[in-house]
Amino acid sequence: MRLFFDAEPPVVLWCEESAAGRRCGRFRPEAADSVLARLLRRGGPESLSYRLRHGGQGLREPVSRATPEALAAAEAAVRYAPESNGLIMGLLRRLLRRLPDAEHLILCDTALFWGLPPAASLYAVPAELGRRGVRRYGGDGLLHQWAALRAAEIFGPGARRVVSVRLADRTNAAALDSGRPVDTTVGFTPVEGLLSDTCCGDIDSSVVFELQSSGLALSEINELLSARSGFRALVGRPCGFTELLRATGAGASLARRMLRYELVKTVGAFAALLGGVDALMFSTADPAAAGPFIRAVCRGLACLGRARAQAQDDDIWRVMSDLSRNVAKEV
Amino acid sequence: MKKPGAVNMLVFNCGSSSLTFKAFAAGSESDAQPIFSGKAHRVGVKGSAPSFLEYHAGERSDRVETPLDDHGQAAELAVSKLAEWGLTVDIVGHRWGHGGGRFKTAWVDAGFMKTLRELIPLMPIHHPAMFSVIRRCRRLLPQTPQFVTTDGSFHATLPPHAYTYALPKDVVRRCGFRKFGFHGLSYQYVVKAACARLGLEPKGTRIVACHLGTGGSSVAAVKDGRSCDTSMGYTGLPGLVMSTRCGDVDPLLATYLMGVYGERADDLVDLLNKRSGLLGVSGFSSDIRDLIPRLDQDPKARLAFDMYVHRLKKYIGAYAAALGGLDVLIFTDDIGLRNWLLRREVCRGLDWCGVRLDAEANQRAVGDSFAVLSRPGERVKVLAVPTQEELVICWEGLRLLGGKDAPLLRR
Repeated sequence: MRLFFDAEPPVVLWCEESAAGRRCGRFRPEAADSVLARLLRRGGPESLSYRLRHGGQGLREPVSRATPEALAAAEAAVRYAPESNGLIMGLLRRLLRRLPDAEHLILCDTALFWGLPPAASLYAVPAELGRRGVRRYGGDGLLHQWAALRAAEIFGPGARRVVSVRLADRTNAAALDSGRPVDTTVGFTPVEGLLSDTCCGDIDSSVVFELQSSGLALSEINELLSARSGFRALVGRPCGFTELLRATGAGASLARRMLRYELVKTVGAFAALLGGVDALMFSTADPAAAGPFIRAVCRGLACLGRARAQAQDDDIWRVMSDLSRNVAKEV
Repeated sequence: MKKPGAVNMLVFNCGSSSLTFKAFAAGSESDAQPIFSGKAHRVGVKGSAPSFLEYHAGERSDRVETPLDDHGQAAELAVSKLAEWGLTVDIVGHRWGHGGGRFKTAWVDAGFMKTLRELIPLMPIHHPAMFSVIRRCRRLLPQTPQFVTTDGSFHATLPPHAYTYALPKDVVRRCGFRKFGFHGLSYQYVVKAACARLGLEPKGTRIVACHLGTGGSSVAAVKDGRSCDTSMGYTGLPGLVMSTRCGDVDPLLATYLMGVYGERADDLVDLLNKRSGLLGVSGFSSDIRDLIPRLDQDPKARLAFDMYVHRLKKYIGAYAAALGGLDVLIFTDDIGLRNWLLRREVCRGLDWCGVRLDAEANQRAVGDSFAVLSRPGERVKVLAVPTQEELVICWEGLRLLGGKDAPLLRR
């Protein structure tokens, strides 16, 4: 039996995977003891995996065993995502004490993108800004890494050059070559890149300065660009990705066209870096509902020739299960 | 020298530290002949090398070395040299950077000077220089009609999904934020010239054009002779890695640096516009030609070069995909025309959209002339096409002269 944990503050999400199938649930931290007692009643799990949304500066491997070094790095990363990392680290400490002999794996979402080539991860700004933490951090690293594995599984080991797109409220994409990251649409913050439910995506930074000289405070500008823009601004009301697919009206149709257009450009840009694309992997919560949209993106990519496309469920438990099994083999 | 019905038109094209000028005798678009041309170098640049003005007419050429503190002064010198050689001017045209969506090409009168003054903050590096040239010319040649044409007009055909910023509608309405794009005069020219040289109809031809200058650089996607997308934005800041401009960055970088590190807005504007790009990354030069000899021994020079190539490659791939495939890839302006190594690196791995360079032809093309860089017989043509922004300004002027608001010229 294997156990997986993720955090969605204020609750911990869990998933138990065994020969009998998968069971999932959620609990608040104060109920941890009783839930864990129930989960562990049928004997100890052979492996426990914990998802860290942010690995800070120290965790640079997507999957690592909970060695003292990895734990120290994970503890140091709590300040980057205090709520979700805090919940997961509390749980990890408790379970390490309780099951010292089991395999504990830390799965980290930001780690993949430490492997980006500097030409992709750095901005063309003076180097001293790099020392202030200014760089591209990427996003959804676990999912993209898994998508690259899946591409090889589905299309064979020749499917080396992969563009992975996550279609969600915060849509983003990554380019991978043989599992190694080549580029990402997510920048220093999730505001850069593709437009999303509430973020504007790529715009001209001069806009920020003009907004500021028009009298807006920095916090208002941050809020405007990250919480009041994107689909919400175009549609005129709060609107997620799934809702956008069905929404009617000129604003929604412009938002869909923009997202589709930006995705076509992103795949083309990544194809240029990869020297071509073998597999185009779309991961989304409801592949059937997103089908027509995905097909429209693919129609716009006819120039990619023989690249193959696949839509799949972005189920995080499946991602964690496959990645931890795969890496456990390697370690 | 002047044909019946032709006018002598003097055109000024203002760069950030240079001023190019060209006079044409022109009756129509097809017969515009340059009669005088030149360039003021290192205008307003403080440094050891002196500023100078070089100018030519037919076989004659001359050069004066003199301090040029601003662009207005350079324009005055150009006008005086033109007069010294006995040439008259009927009409003066100027390139303007950013019309703020208010005009494309327009006559300049006292009222219009006010409009231009209001537009200065939109391009803080270029507009003050352009404005000073126009003001000086109005004083020097009070009886000569003058017009401006904006650099972005060519991009007026961008579709909404390419020019819209996904920002709240009230903000967009109040501030006019959208993608405008620049280097339009250059794109207008090279697209036309490339189609003419290849015998292609603009209709149905999918072109990606890279205007790679010593200052600003951008890329444009063109189909049916019309611009569909371009890498610069509301201002000339986003897009490619440029000599001193950062190109694309996360918009929250600015608020982070102001909020967390207490940076002042005007310092940051200066940092992203004048101290970033190749200069910021390499730490020593804004000129890619200085970086290339040091790629092997200087990791920072290497990083700056790699970033430049990485970003440019992405735009070419993105626009090839957006156009549904590629027919012609154009390189133009100083860096695009002369830098074979850069072109080789950029075109590497673009086979999937049909780009295959002829290594020798590419390496030979280091001058200011038209060249085919793709292998013979390849479907996708890769070209080096010298741009002629001044000629396009002249075309715009002729169009304006044919319009109903045209002033009577004193001949």
